[in-house]
Amino acid sequence: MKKGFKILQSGGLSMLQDNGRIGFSQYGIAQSGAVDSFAYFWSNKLLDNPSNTTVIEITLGALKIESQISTCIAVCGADLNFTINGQKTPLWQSHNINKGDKIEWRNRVSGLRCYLAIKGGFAVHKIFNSTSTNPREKIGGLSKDGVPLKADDIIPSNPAPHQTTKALNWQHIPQYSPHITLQFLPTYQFDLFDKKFKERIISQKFIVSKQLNRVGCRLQGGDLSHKINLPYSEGMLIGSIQIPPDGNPIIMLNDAPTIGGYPKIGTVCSDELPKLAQAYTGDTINFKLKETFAQ
Amino acid sequence: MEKNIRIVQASENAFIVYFTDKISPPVFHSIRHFCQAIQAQQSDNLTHLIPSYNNVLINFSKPASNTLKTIDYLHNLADDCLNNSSSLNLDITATTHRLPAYYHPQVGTDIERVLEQCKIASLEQLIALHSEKKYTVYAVGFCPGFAYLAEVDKKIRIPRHPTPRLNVAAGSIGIAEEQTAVYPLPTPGGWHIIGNCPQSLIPNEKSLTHLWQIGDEVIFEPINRKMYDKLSAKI
Repeated sequence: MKKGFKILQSGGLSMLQDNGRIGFSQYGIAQSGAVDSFAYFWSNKLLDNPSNTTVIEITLGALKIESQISTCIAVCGADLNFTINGQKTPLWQSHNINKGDKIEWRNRVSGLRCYLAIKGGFAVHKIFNSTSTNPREKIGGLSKDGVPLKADDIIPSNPAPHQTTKALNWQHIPQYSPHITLQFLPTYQFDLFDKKFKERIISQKFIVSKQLNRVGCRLQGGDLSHKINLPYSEGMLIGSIQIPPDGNPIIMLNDAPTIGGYPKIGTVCSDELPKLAQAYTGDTINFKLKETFAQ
Repeated sequence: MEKNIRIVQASENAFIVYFTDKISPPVFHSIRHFCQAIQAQQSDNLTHLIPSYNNVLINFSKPASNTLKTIDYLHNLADDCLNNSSSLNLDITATTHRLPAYYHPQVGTDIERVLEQCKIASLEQLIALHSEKKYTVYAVGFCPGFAYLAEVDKKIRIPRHPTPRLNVAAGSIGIAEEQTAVYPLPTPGGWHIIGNCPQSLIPNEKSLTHLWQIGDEVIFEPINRKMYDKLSAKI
């Protein structure tokens, strides 16, 4: 059996991800892929990997890995108490790894999702041009059936020579605050919502609920009930802000169904999505309208 | 210019085109035309193209450099497709898909409830009402290979379960109001289940072109237990 990274323990949610599936949405196949595109990008960039290289997306932590090879890694994203052989280790930089090293993410300190890239990537088969794991659709990942990583899995990878470590300039490292402001574009049914409703969405403070996964981020605490009905379901995007009749907005994320029937008041600006990717239950969200393009 | 066409921005680089307020087979035909033309003209600049009922979502790879120009382009193309402009010179034929359907309480967990609520005298009558209609694919989505089919006979229209079931078996044939569908994957689902289709509908990389598209026709063909077991063994 090919060597690589062996999972010793997986208590949270850890999954193989890449850029996702592009061009298959007309068959009902979601984009999937790394939710925090910024941290994902840098984890590969610090190793000079091609930009669509497969990484492990670690949600909340509780992941312990043993390396069966000598290689280099880079770890970017949430602070999940990342250690190598028990030693606290900085994020947003590359590290040389020896055979037998134990790499661990114990528990969440700030943010939600952390990315582990390995030099040359993990050697995993693609389905629909991507290795991304989507448990809802039962596709992708190590066994191609959408199952997240679990204890005793061995993710194959080639050894790589040690190299001079690289780090992202501290000025570019994001700080994950529990108070998040999200800019959104007025899209889809924006014009159908009345003025008072629009004032409410930008003046109220929302709280990230417990219903938070890769399909969507459901918010609570606002008063956004309405009676707008969509006659027909329509295509959704990552960042689409759906407002169900109960008034609790759902911001769609990477594993969201391709079409949906609730009205949408806007779409989170794409450069704001990495912030949203790190939002955790209890964090507050304020919306801010961005009006820079022609209607 | 066709007045019914509306175009709305959906993100920095995405637009949604609404063709008409009402849907009909000619509209599906136009939407297929439109999707084919976009795929041909924008093949290097397209990440998502999602047709659904009366609308199409187009997500370009790059942000539009001139939003108004892009909207104009989409409007003209949709207009041409709606008016069947011959200049596009595209070949589109709707396919008829025949799906084997085993209607039995063993696989149709809600048959009893449907018979009772819709006041249908027998399972045979329910089978006839569901299988003697030809359905049209209105949209594909929710999960890979899930097609929304319509319209179900008025006599067997029934609302969704108030609380969705946590797990509906793969192949389950469901009905909900005027729509019917086959669940390609085991998923949570709120539709009333009246049978099972022992044929894999999950898209795979090799058979993408054989999958259903908006505007295709679907016929359910009732089968017996023996045939059901035989076909199930092949999945």
